[in-house]
Amino acid sequence: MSPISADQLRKIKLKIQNENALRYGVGRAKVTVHMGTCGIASGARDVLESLLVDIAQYKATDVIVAVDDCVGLCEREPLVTILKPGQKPIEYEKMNPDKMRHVFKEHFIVTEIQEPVEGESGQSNEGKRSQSN
Amino acid sequence: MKAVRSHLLLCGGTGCRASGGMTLKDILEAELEKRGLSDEMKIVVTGCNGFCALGPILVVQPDDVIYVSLKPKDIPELVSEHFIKGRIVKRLLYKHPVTKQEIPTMQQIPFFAQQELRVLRNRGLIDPEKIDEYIGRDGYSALAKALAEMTPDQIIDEVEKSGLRGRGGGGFLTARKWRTTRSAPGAVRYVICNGDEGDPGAFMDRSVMEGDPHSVIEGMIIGAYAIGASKGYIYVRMEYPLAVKNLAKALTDARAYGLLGDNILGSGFSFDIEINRGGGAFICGESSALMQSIMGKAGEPRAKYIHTSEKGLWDMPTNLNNVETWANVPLIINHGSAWFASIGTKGSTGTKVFSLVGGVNNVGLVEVPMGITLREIIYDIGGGIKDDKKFKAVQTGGPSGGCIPAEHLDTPVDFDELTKLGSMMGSGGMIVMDEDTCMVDVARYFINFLVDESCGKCTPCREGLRHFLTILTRITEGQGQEGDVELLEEIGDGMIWGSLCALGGSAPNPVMSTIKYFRDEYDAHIRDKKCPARVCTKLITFSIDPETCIACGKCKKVCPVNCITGAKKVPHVIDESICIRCRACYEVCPTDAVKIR
Amino acid sequence: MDDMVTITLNGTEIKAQKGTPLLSIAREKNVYIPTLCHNDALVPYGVCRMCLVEIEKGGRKRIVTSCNYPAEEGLAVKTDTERVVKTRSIVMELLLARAPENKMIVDLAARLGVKGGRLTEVNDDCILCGMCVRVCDEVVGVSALGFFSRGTSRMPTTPFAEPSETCIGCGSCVYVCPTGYIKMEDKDGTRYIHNWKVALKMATCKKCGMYIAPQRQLDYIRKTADLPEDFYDLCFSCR
Ligand SMILES: Cc1cc2nc3c(=O)[nH]c(=O)nc-3n(C[C@H](O)[C@H](O)[C@H](O)COP(=O)(O)O)c2cc1C
Ligand code: SF4
Ligand code: FES
Repeated sequence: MSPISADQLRKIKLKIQNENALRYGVGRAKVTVHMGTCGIASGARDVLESLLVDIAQYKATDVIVAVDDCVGLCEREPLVTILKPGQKPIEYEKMNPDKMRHVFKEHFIVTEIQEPVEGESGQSNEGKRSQSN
Repeated sequence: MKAVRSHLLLCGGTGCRASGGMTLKDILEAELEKRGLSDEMKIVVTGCNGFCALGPILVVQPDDVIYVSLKPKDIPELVSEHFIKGRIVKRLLYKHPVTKQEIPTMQQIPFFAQQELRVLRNRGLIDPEKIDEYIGRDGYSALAKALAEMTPDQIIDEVEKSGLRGRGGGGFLTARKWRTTRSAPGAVRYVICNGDEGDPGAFMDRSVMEGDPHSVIEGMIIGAYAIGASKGYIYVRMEYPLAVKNLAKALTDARAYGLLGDNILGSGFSFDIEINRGGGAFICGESSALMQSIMGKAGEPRAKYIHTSEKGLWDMPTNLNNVETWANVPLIINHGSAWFASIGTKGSTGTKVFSLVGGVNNVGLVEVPMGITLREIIYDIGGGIKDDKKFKAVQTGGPSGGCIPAEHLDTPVDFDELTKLGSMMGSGGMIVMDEDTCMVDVARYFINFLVDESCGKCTPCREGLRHFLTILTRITEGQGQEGDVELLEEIGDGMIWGSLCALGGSAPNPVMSTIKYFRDEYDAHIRDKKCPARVCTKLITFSIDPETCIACGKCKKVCPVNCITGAKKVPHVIDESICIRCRACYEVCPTDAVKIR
Repeated sequence: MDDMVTITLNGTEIKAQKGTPLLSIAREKNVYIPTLCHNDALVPYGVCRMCLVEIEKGGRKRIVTSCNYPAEEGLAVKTDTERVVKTRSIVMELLLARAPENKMIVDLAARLGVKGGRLTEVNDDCILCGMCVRVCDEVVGVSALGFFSRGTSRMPTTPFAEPSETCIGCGSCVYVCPTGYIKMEDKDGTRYIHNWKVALKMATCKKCGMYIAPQRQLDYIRKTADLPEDFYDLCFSCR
């Protein structure tokens, strides 16, 4: 540690707020991976791993990850729900690590940097269904 | 590399440590390792959550779930069920004392829901040993603002407008003290933080020093800048090793960042702080005694015509404030005086931290807006009286505070209202007493504490307390005489007016307030030789009601002096001449056949 | 003069040097205020609380100890209001219970019209005025004494209540003690101060053989005042 300026003080603050977003509950979005026994059996754990690796890689620590019990839709597991403040939750079913990577990029990398994308949600649409719970 | 998906906020306050919190940490670490979760779940040891009776406490984020009273054997289940499968482990949640319902989140637990966290703003949220985490919660931004944008006078004006009054006892206006110290002539000026917290059972200052040491330090630096002080001391009670450790680490880190030392944040202002371990006596918390103690002399109060703000440490202008007072300062600078004064009462703005203990369902540390009623604190936050008993009195203000009866439960809690009732705010102790409390015995209990804690320097306090104790003891032993109450009042009056310091001046409170509100109990002891609450052992007798006795023999087994006789199917009998009134039989009797009269 | 202030004492206007203790002003005007821990040679201590007076300043009335309260402009001082008399009487009664057989205390109580009998007697002649401790420190400069313990067990004593190694046996503590609690005795060429467990050999006059004072005291004075080695060889009458 060495002496800091008021400006560096602000930077530390932003860095920590970003890093600890999950603790303060003020993230950019919340991604829930449903993990009950059936979810785990169908590979939810790998989906979670892939998500965590991406978050670390893209330093998107303000994307909050939660694990939740299975929601009783075992045949469609692994299930992932994405919730952004003020928006309807979007649910993805039959996920695998590859799909997860794709969904993550689509939501948190591509759209955030405002790159024009064709067909917006592309392939992942096949796994998309409107949230009913 | 994997991102961390969960923070496990393990309470590392003294209370939770005492109930095994750190062992739990090791076990949790090992279990996470075993299940391959070490790099996605992070354990953060935080400061005290204030709910110490239910420790160790673990809050799981981002799920916002709070687990209480955790045992090592609960850990494997917690990890596999909650952390891996996302299933909340219900049996480890807090249960509502009345409805018995499990409550998963902190915000839904009434104890937490009604609180207004300002001083305790970072409670359970940061690792007190990491300065960056404090900064992440707006820490030191008030200092940066004060140094860059405000003159010392502007700071004092802002504190004045906020109405901040000292949280250490007397409720002195903080800005007024600062201004006097600032304008007093002297080659150097000092600021001191009073972390002596001598009130038995109180732990609000400890929790702040342990759990958020930087909030106190930041307040002190701002205050020192406003006052023009170059040196600060934090006087910490002897019995608070963790507070000393965390403060010391915080000072080192603040120094490394240049937030203490020479030319703070490039402002040209220089200031540093040293920790001083307390002398160990209650009286050392008194301002002039505390300063004597810092100077290495006996911790005794000094004559009051010399103001410490003009001649304090080494005869230099010195400003002393309580831990909580200091911790409020950054908030005032950051959010402004209007925000600060937006809650509270006219004469007492902001919040106050209380340590709520005694006969309530939820004991712990609570921060509430000034002006909240005693009833709200005791019934809403405290969850009412334990075991459905009746409320009798609440003692506020530490050992020399007074007892307030049920008829005043709707009094708004602030400095002036409590004083009007014959008690005081003190530093925020709050002991709730139920119907089974003898008020004469309570008065005797506090006087017995004070008699050893008075420094003994001045006549009224030393001798007054001595005779208080003698008289109260004889009353509780059935030897009270007609006129004893009046004598107590006369002595108390002499102590209030004649004592050198506020210890002697306030020591009569427990006696005077119980006489004022519970005079009938004194009379019952003195005239009828009866203790209405059935507490004073010399005034009660134990007997077994033959109608209700089922002759189970339980009482016979527990009696330590073997004074209970009776055979199978024959109602048991207590021999009063041998009985030592230990209550053992009373506690075990399954049919409540043991009667105390 | 700049630093003169005007105060009233029991209604009479008085000019006084700013900062003079109220007690000194009252004594000069022959207004009686009882004291037990005051001695003109010592720094005011303000602990016996016998010298209480009522002051009024800016409409605010307070009870303060006159032995150390400094005169300020416009102060109204009263030495015998109901409040003062009541408080002083109870303080006296407390002291009387502490030392019920001590003549000085009994006489003062009688003078103030205070009767005993209501409080359990303690029978300790030390009233903790601290004069012994203070004289040894402030006047003699030896600081052989201090207070031990707190609250009701407070007492003046030597460090760790061991026989004092620094006490020079000068007896100043004995002379200032208002109650005669400190016992000193010169016997067979030795000075005993029983309270401090000291026994010091007395020096004798080289001419008449009379005992002068404890050897340690003479050594101390010679050293601090830088006197010649043989200064105390003779007693005062033989010089
Ligand atoms: C006997 C006695 C004990 C005290 N103990 C404490 C204490 O433990 N902590 C504290 O902050 N103030 C204590 N005080 C109050 C202090 O003298 C002082 O008023 C206070 O620390 C000033 O800070 P504040 O203006 O921020 O309240 C005590 C006072 C007395 C008379
Ligand atoms: S009031 Fe009590 S504590 Fe204060 S100076 Fe007098 S004896 Fe000491
Ligand atoms: S003479 Fe003033 S207090 Fe003793």
